[in-house]
Amino acid sequence: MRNLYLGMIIIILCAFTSTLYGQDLTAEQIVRKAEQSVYPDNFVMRATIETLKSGEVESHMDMEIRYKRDTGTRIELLAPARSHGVRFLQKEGNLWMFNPRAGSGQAIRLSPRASFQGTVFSNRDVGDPQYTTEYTVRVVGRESIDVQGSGQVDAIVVEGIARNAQVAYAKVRLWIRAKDYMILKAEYFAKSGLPFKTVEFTNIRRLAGKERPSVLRMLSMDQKDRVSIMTIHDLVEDPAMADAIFTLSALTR
Amino acid sequence: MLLAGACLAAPQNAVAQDNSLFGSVETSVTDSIAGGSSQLSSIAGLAPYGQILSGGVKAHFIERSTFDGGELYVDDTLSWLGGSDGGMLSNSLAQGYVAISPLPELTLVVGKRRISWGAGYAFFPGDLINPPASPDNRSSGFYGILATIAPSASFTLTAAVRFDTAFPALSTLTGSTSTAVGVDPSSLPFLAAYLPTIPDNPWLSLRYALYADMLFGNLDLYAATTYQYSSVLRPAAGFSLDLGGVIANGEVAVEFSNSSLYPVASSTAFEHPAFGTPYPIFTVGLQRTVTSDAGSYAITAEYLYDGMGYTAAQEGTVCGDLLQALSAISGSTSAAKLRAAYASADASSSAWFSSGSVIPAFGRHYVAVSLSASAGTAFEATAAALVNLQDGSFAVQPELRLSWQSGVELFTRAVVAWGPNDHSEFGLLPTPVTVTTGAVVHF
Repeated sequence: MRNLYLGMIIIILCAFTSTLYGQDLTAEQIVRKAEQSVYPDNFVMRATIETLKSGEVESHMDMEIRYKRDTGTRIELLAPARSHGVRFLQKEGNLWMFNPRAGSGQAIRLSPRASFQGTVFSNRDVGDPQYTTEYTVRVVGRESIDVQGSGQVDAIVVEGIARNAQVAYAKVRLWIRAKDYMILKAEYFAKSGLPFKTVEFTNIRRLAGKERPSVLRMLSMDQKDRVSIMTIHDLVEDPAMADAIFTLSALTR
Repeated sequence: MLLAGACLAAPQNAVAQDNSLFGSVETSVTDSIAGGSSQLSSIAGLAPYGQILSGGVKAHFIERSTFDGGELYVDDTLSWLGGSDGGMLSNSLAQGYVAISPLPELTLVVGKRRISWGAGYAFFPGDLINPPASPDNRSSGFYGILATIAPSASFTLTAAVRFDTAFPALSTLTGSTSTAVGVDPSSLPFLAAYLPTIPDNPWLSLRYALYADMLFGNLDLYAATTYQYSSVLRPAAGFSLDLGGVIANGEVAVEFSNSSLYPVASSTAFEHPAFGTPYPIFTVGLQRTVTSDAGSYAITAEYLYDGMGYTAAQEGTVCGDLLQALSAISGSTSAAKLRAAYASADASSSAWFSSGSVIPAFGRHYVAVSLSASAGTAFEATAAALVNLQDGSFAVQPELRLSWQSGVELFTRAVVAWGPNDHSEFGLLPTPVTVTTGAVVHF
């Protein structure tokens, strides 16, 4: 009987907390909506990543990204010329790279936590918005934050703890716009608990039939003079994408 | 009929949605610093450290064109090698094929194609379906047909039939012939009689392979078998595993069709030492990449054990007897050449890490190590080494590369080979130190 009362109290408290911070949605549902505010579940997009060091352009990459939720991500570099044709395949926390110019004819397995082609983004950051599958999330509060172009915005703050050691970051903290669950900012933490990187989602415009952020600015705490900016040029939802695209056989073809 | 039907299918799983053409034009000069004799006279007056071994221009292009339900892929290199004789123009088709997808899960390939094999970096013990790599044609495929079925993104099964083992003329169509051991066995006449000959029925010389790849969490497993009548039966299995940023890999293969020959009592009486007796080949390796403010660093190390088809004692007999015989005939003391000729052409298909150089089929224990460091995207330094642990010889290839966003690169690389004596594998190379300097324009 005592356990029953205790259980009821916990349920009521959870419901209260959820209503207070997340407007009747669980933390997982909020983050899921935030993921969908950036990308659809299956998509093809053209994007650019530009890395600046002390304000000077250090590198510039054009790429095509294909993503299918719960299946994988495939990236093909289109520029610079010397990287044209280099492809990456990421699935279940694993990453392979294939360079048709290298001559080996072989895909090489890489660590998904390493830097993506020398940018501030890690391999996992590019085109893989699966916070809900990689982190155990909970709502931790509500804040008013200053957003470029929108002024002060009411945001739900969600924290996620990595579900396993393969995930790029030990902990993430997300700021999600309360009115429509659009993700505004994320902070990534190292195993030590120290903040590692910050990404800001800005320049909202219509992509794949919805208002979405089109610019992701990634800053690193240990490389303070460097910033990598991903600009999404085209984003198309593609629900008919075949799983076979996300195989090693297709990667080397 | 099947092709026509496939071409009409909707492009449901076409990977590339557009056509693309990219590649590079490279010009380089290779000098010998020590040893060796000039194969070509100097060009353009450049001979700073020794005699120029080669110099020329190489155009490499990759073209991919998609159509409804499939794609056409061509990876080709056109080279001009300069010299006093006016130069030599050659073409090397690495891959050229048509891929069609009659179903989203099924892809059929006809033409010259390479299977991406295993998880290794330098050694691929079970891979007898792809031709051995060579410096001139590093990613060459085989002529044949392939069918790949992928019921999910985590499981693929590929079946392949290779034609050019039965019809060698196919390989010469595009000037892409390479040998596994770097020496033509038929150049040793007294051995030629004992080497395998092409059978009367070429259909018996077709080579078959089955390759399955499965992903379980962060464990990638694969299993494969290669078979050719009376010549090859080599099942293999391997893995790669991400151990918190360190990638571990391994592969073990067993050759059941042991076709090696060895002398029974003298250099004129040969037989199979262990016909029907399997011998193992395996490799294990680790790879780690570290990224910091200053740049990124990667280290790869891999060990290979090659059973070779005969015991160490038999090998001693082979080398001892044949060395004596060859010395008597030609005065040469090239033990390694004997071993290379002695092993079957497919005894080792391993490729030297990243450089694509050929590992000759002698030596049981090898280590390949590669180090690379890059600062941003502008500068990269790499060094790859291959060590024959059995005889203590090694080859090292350091390389420096400077890149610009415009697609221009300057590079210089050296190949340094050393052996404790002239019977050792790398101590036998005619040019112990070569330096190649060049420029590449990517497009």
